[in-house]
Amino acid sequence: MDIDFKSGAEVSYLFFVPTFLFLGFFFLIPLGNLLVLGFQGFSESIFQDPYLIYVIQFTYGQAFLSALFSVLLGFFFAFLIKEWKIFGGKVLWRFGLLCSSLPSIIVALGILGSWGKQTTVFGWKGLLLGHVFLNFAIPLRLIGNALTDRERTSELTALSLGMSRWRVFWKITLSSLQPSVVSSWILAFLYSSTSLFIVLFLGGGPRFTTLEVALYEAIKLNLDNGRAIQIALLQAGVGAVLFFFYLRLQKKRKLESESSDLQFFAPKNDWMRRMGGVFLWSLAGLALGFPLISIFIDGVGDWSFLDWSDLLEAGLTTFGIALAVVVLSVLIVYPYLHYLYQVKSERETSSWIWLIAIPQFFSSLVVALALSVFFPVVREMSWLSCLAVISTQTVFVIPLIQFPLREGFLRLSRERNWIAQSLGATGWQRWFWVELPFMRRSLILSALIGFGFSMGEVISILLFSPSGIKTLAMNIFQSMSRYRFQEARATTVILLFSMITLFGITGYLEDRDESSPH
Amino acid sequence: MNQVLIENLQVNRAGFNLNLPSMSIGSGDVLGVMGQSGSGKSTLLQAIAGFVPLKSGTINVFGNEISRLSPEKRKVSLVFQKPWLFENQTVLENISFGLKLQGLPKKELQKIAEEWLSKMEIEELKDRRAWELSGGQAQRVALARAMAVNFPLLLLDEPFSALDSPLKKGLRKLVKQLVRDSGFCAILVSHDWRDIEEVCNKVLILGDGKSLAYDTVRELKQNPNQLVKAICED
Amino acid sequence: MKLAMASELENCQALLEGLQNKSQQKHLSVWYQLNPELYKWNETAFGYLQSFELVKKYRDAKEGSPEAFLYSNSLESCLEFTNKYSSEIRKQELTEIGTLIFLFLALIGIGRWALRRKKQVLLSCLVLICLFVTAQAQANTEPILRVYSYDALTGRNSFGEFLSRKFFEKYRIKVQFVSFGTAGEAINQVLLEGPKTKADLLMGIDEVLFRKVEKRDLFYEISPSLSEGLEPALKKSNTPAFIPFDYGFVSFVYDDSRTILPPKLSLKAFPEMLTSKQKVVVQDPRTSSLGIEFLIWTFGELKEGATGFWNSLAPHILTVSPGWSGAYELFLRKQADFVISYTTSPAYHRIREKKESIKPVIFEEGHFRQVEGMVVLKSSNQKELASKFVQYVLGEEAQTQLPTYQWMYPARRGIVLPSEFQDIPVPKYLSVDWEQMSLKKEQWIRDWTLILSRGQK
Repeated sequence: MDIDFKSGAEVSYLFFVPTFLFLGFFFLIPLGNLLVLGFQGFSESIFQDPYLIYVIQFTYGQAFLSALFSVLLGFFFAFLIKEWKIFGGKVLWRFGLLCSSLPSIIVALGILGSWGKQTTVFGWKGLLLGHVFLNFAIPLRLIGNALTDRERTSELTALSLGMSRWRVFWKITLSSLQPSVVSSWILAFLYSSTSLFIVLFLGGGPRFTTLEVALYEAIKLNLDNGRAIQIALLQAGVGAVLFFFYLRLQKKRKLESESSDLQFFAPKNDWMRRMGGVFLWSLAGLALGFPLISIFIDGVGDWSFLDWSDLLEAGLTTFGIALAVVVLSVLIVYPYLHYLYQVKSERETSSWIWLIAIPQFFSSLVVALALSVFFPVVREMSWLSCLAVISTQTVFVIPLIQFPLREGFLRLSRERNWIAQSLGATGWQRWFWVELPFMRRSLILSALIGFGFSMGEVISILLFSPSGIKTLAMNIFQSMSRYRFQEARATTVILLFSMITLFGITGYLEDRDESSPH
Repeated sequence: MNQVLIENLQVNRAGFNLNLPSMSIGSGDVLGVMGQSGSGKSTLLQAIAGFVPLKSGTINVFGNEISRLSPEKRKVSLVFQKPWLFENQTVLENISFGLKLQGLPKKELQKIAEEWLSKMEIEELKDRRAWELSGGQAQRVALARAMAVNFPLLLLDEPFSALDSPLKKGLRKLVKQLVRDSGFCAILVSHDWRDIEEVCNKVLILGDGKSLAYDTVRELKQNPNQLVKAICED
Repeated sequence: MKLAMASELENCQALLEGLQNKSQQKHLSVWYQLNPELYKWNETAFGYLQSFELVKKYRDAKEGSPEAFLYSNSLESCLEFTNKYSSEIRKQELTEIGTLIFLFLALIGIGRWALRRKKQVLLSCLVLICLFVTAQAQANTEPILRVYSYDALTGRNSFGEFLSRKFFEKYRIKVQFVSFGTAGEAINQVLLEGPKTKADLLMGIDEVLFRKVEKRDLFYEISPSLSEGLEPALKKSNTPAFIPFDYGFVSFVYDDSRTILPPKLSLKAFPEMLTSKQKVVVQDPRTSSLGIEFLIWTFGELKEGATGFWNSLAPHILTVSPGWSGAYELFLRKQADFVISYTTSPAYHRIREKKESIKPVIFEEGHFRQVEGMVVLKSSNQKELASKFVQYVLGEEAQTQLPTYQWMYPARRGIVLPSEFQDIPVPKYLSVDWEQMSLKKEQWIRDWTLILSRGQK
């Protein structure tokens, strides 16, 4: 039988077509349509407005500081968890991930209900608290994994030649961690510059306005779509530049990382390790736990007024939509990345990775508006609007889950696949028996991110639901707009509890998978 | 006929050209391939395995022309410098992976896998997972996995270079014996002359994608030219 | 003869209602979309059915009298129309069946060809096209009235749900509320959708927002007779397109169990009355309609004194909230002593929570009144239906229920309010110079931004 290298090209269509079709249909075309419509209402350039110049400066100034604090905190946590191996490190690791997956409106309300009662949190304090809460898990994960997987031979050699541990850390370890530190700063900066609810609820006034808030204002109240488009394009431009630098820092790893148990920087005394653990847990409790506990305290009380059947329906809808979003986004991203990392060269991979990253450069407000304008018909049928909600959320989730999936593929070597293939395994067999078990952790993390995002997302439901779709997050939102605040707080507790349960289950699943090197 | 015939192999990969004359490897023999970095050693193995397309030439393995077959149909097994074991599987499952794909009944494949565990002297590691093994143990498992399927051609890409000397010595002897006993052919790529000397019957020296020398190990040792000597002493 | 005629008129009426129901079935609706003229059949039928209610009373009219002539004439034209309508529906059904059969055969043919030639990409595209067309066909179901509105007005247990349920019970016409975060977004959606918008009506837009877009020629001026039942102060002859359905007075709300106010208070003196520890939450005029209304009130009423007002208030502002709900939540959490809301907000606490301590601040000089209204879009091809809906919303049944849904005052005069509403003092209404407001609003927002940028702690 002829070996047909051309059939490889045909197979490649199957990997690319779903991604192109989906992003083309649900993102690029509607966005293009909105840009055209928006520019028809073009007024003055935003750079001629001194207030917006201030807003631009403030946006990126607060993002810079938020990212810096996030990285400092994340680094500190990662170091103590991965190097010092403090007690309860695994729990803290997962707790950090949980915090970053929470809906930002819950975080804002939590901070208001905790620190807000002790002191004034509005303004810089609130913004930094909120952004660090949501984003510190990025450096925690990236730096933590880099600490685990780093090459230790140089450090071992330096230590054996008599260099002090601090010098080794400063000269050798830090430089090997530099790509992950800078990458995590870039991502935290990107997310801080485009956050909306944290700024809306914890900013508190014209002094603390970001571009996202200005965009919100332009779309929702001023009906100035020209201005909104300009702001969106500026944000997209900055995001694209950042992502370019982020990609340059990522090198496609051809060899599997060798994790090691050697701890060069662990404290010599056990009591120091314990003190470090106590300190870290205290810090986590104050900065992270306190806001979450306040949500429970505020929300738990007399629940006799709650409509439990309504809540159950909202919960099932929330879970159903989230599950559909996760499945759809994985089905779109996974084959695409699989083909890039398993078949294509590194240069080609770097070029094509942009496609699935583009949606994250645009504000979710703009993307949702573009879709609702392009598909007005979807509001007319419940199942269609449900599909529209799922598709919109998938557009937002795709760029988020590409990070853990890419990390997984970077660790998955080509040689292992070749060996399986040489032993007679077909493509599906290799995927099922070799690749999938290896990618399990990345898939679990992607699912977590997708669930977390979807469960707290309201923008797409507000735009598409003909009042038929009800999720827990929508319940909170609608209750608050109708004076039913206690109901909103109770629903927040239920949503938070659901997310904690979800993280607990996935954490258990991760622990069962002991074979993964990370 | 039980031999491997490689005729006029030409490979072009990202601007690099590999041109080889005809070669044959007899049943139970090992062909060593040496050369400096970038000479085309790994490209040769990948081309034989089917991961790099041939520009021209044929590869005949035990009477079957395989150069147009997809990698999974060529019946050519691989061992790399790193073991690349399947992390989620036990040692026994790793070894029986290829046997499972052949559709053998469970009892039979377990029996064969256990035989190979015994040949590799790692019976006690049967139920261990890959990440629990040392480097040498893992490489034995990788070898067992590649050989258990009984394919006519075995490709070894620097399988000993990540191991320390005592382990290398033991494995070299084991590989030579197993290949000879089983009757299949093997190609061993290495930059270490001692690997070639102890394991191989013939050796091919590559330089910049071309064959610099192709002869038996004994002949080359007796009559080396200056270039070959420089490479072999490297 | 009279009995026979009566029977014929009732039969005709039943036949017409049957045809109308049939025309609203899903499989015919596609053709209504393709042939807009067909929509008029349904509206004409509706007109006929309405006229029967008037003509029926002439059933016993003396033979030869003008009333009897009117009766028989109506019957004849109804019968003629019914026959034509019936044959038109039959024609469309046959056309639809024929087209579906043709499309089905074509799809089978293309699919078989694609399968034979292994054109997987073509097959995938075919499947997607089928799904899309099905979705479009499904989407274009019955002709229904679409109302774009803000979120709190739609959803379960909302005023919108009540209206659509009752309207359907009474007229057998479906009303679909399409929900947006704010009324501004609803309008923006209409602007972006352009002439092809699906919206028939916008509900819940306030006067400020309406003034923003009234010159864009989007709205249909419905019959002034619909406004006849409104409170006199709400009737606006110069804006016939905007039909108010509820209103409220903007004010500060406080809890008298922890805050004591002087018996008389003016807006200007309010900041000076606050102690150093008392905190206020205001809404951002750039993101909240309540916020912009309060801003307009202060700048429009206090004029040059507005700057002083905001300068005095700024140190007491706990935060500037993006919307009403966030601000109110802070007030309920006792993090703020005053929040901008409506004078009727306390009614919710009295009725639902049996709590009497939440009260509105009433200023001597009067308050800004927020009026929410409905507008019918010019692009709608169901203006008669939309007018009918407006009429229902302004009717006694809907307006009586409105206060305990919207927690606002009903626009119709003579509605008896629940006692908890009656206990709340109704402030004086301050008129707004809308011309001045339109011209100066942007400047006022800039001034406010500047003041708060400096003055806020």
